[in-house]
Amino acid sequence: MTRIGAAAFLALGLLVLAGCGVSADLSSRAVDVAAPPPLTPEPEAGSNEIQEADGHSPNDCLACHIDKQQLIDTARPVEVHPSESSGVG
Amino acid sequence: MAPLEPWERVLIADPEAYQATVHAQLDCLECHGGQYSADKETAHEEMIADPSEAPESTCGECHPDVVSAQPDSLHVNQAGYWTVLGERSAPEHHPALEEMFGNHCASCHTTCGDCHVSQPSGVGGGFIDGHLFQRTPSMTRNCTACHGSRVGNEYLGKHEGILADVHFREGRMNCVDCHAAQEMHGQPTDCAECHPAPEDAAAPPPADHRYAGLQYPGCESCHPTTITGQDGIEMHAVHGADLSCQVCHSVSYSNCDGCHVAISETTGNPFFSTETTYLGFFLGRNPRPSYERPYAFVPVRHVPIAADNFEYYGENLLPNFDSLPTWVYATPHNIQLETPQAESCNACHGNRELFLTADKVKPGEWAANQSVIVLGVPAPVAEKEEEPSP
Repeated sequence: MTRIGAAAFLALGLLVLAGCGVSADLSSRAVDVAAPPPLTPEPEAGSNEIQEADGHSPNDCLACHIDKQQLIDTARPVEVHPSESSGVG
Repeated sequence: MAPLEPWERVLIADPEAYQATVHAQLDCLECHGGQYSADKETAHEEMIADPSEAPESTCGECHPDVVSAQPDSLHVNQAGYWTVLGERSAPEHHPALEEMFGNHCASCHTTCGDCHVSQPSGVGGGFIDGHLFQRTPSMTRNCTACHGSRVGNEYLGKHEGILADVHFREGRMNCVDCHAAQEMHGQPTDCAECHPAPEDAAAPPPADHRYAGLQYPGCESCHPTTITGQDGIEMHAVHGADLSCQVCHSVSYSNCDGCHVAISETTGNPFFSTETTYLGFFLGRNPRPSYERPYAFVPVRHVPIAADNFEYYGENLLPNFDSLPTWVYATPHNIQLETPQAESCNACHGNRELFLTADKVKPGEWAANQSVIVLGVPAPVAEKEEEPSP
């Protein structure tokens, strides 16, 4: 029984090694497979930030348009001409 | 209406409220163009201030039914102006009139955004409420911002001694309670889509004037028993079909003479000068009788047209001036339940003061107003004597 057990253990070991060899062989012939998309966290409700590649985002628009003082500071001077219209329009 | 300050026109006052709206899910650049940058000048390069000037590629992406109809909206195409300018002028004068129109009239052209996001550009523009889209336009900051000097002042009761329209005074009704979206947005391009019956096949042409086609809104939509005389009011039974409602239920309204236009030599800005404005109530013959408007008499309003209104742009640009009246079909927006002319039969019958007789028309405009001048005032009637109380 000891001989039979040793032989069985040896056979199992060879089978495992053979399996590794096949695996190594397959990996050498691997085909190109598109990488799965990276998992990204779901945006939180209410968040619509879109980050652009160059680091700018729609927040550039909002950052200014929610800032009253900045809008005042950057507004073009308005030339006010008294209207020459007369009477009811 | 005072114009907004430059910063006020573009301030998103409540960013959290804006971010929570469905329109905020769109990228700013999708509608407005320009580019992302913290620098104002760079960010605004090729920016579109009012994306709804080209609604097919913006609003129409999500609201195609509305945008497909809007080319026929009088607010968009301003066809009413060209209907009367075309009638009074001649083709050879159209280039000069188009230049005039571009300088003085085109700012009344209305985009989706002029009603649903901003004040109209004609009054300086600017957000109604921090870029929040408004399902219902503001009565005073949108509708009467443009329609202020006549409709707005009448409806809101701004003429001294004249009450506001009963629909506003008692009912607090807004413009859109009568002038619904279907009217404002224009006629759908394919009527048969909703009205597939054979009798509907002959679709009316798009409106070329505010009083063209169906009478909508109509008073009888809410007051159906008036024109059928089923409300027990004798005057409705007698006159429900031959007088417009305003004949009995309107009071004095604004009339204007001669609106001359030019370009300022000092500033280069367009300007106008109206000769006179006056209140009055005048019943004329109906200049536009139709199946929809079969009335014998209607209130008529003098509009600020004169033969030389556009002489800055060329001589005699309205050679067919007399082809249309200067006193026009009117629907004053100052409706009252009780009016002086409706007090009794003879408050109107035999009362020359109410009627547009020739002596109230400038001699130079007699020819233009042949269709409206009242030659014979309805004779007084024998009114029933009140029965003595038992």
